[in-house]
Amino acid sequence: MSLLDELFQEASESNETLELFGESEGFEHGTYGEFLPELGNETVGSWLPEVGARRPVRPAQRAPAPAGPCTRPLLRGQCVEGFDFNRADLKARHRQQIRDLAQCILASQGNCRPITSFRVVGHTDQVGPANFNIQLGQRRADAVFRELVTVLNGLRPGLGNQIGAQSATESRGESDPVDLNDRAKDRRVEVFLRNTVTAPTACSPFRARIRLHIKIFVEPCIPISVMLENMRCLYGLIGFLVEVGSTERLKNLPSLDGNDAIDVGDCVMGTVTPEQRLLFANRNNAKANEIVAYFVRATSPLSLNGCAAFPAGRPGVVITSTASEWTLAHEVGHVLGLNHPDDPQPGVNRPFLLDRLMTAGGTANILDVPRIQPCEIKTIDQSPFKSNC
Amino acid sequence: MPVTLKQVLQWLNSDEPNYRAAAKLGVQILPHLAALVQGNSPEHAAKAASLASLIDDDRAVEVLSLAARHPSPIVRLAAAGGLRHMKRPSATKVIMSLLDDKDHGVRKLAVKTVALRPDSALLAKAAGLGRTDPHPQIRLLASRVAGGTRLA
Repeated sequence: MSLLDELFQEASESNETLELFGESEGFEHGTYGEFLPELGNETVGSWLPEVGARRPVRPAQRAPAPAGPCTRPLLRGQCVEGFDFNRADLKARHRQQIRDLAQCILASQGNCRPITSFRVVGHTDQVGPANFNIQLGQRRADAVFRELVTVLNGLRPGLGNQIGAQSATESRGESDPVDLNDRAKDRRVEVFLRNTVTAPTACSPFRARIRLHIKIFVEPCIPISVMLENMRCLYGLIGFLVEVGSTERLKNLPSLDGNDAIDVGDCVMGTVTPEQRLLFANRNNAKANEIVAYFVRATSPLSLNGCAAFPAGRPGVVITSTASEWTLAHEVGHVLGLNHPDDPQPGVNRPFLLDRLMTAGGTANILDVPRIQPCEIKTIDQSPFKSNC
Repeated sequence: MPVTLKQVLQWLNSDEPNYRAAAKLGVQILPHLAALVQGNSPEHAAKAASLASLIDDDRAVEVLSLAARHPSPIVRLAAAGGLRHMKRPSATKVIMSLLDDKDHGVRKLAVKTVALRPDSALLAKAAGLGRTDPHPQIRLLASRVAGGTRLA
């Protein structure tokens, strides 16, 4: 897996914090030490821990629902280790890893979740006076910050200054150790990345809008807000505004409730079961060309993450509790006329196109923001289930 | 050529697996499906149960029996739904166990499966549920099934 893959693999449900620069540091003789940052009231939801030792430091708080611009956590990256004891200067390998990180930040500028700021946190072990370690941790954080800004400016003039102006450093000194039996692990710098997605407020300059209505029987494991944000990001990149027209909690219907698995038959487009007809009859607030997403517990008789078969005149999708964060966008893609580009065939061994939204390889396996091909955009353009801006 | 677990997972990873095509891989994949049902991913376990339900073999019933005992109701739902495809007599016992499931969504789906698989023991059990199940929708549904009413 490439660094980019790792960096952009999302972990909205994660409770891990990863360290970026692990270390070997210190002050001599145990006179000075270092500590672990207390990430305190910062949440993984707004700052992505990043790049690090792939070693959990501590459970992080779950992100609160974002207000205004939404933010998403990123997780994973590379681990940089090896600050010398009582030193804050960067080694050659540190610089290489910072360059790699900068490349990831640069690459993010082209997708729907650009990294717009970062926070650099320096740490020390617990040897030495706490006040000294605060200063040492700050020097390390400053060194990493300066190098990152410089490298970013080198990659794209002004980018480092732009992101750096929104970013910050701090020192946690010795107060946040990761391993009391191995001081070297405590000597590190963590870099937390934050990306921002701004929800559009007007249809222009999009080419068209796709309007969804959310009907909830059961909340899926992946929050609906995450699925919606992903869908907005991806469809926004190709010029389609995704709007939520309404959200409604479905109460028990005459013969269906939230514990039911909805019978979708074999989930074949154009063919629906009585239960699908019953469910899809609930279209409060939805106009004829607007798509309703029904969040249900499961499907029967076969277990699916989602199903895009809908009764005539009632466009909609069923999304189950096991859906991935891309399932909603994928199923709506089917409603808009898109097909799997890589359906498996018995006896044929070919790789799935996991960089495509419509992959048959499972949207849970998509590692980065997937692609929608130009020919697929043309198909969506011709769909009756979008409206022009 | 033997089918590997990885190949089976390739079929099941899809958001909408093509179960009927995957079932053509045949009985050789049943050990993999049994392993998946006993694994730590309820999503894969549920999909493995669904796939097993389309393979006409007593060992597939065993896979569904494992799924019927899974701690996740999502997996038990997959077993209850899949059993409608199972014509083997050995499936009756598994359906019977799901009619006693603690999750009323699972029980309800199992009752629907009975409707598609008339069997005297199952119909008798459904009749009992029609009188005693704590969930009113299930009582109504089970009574209709036991009475031979065709479900819509």
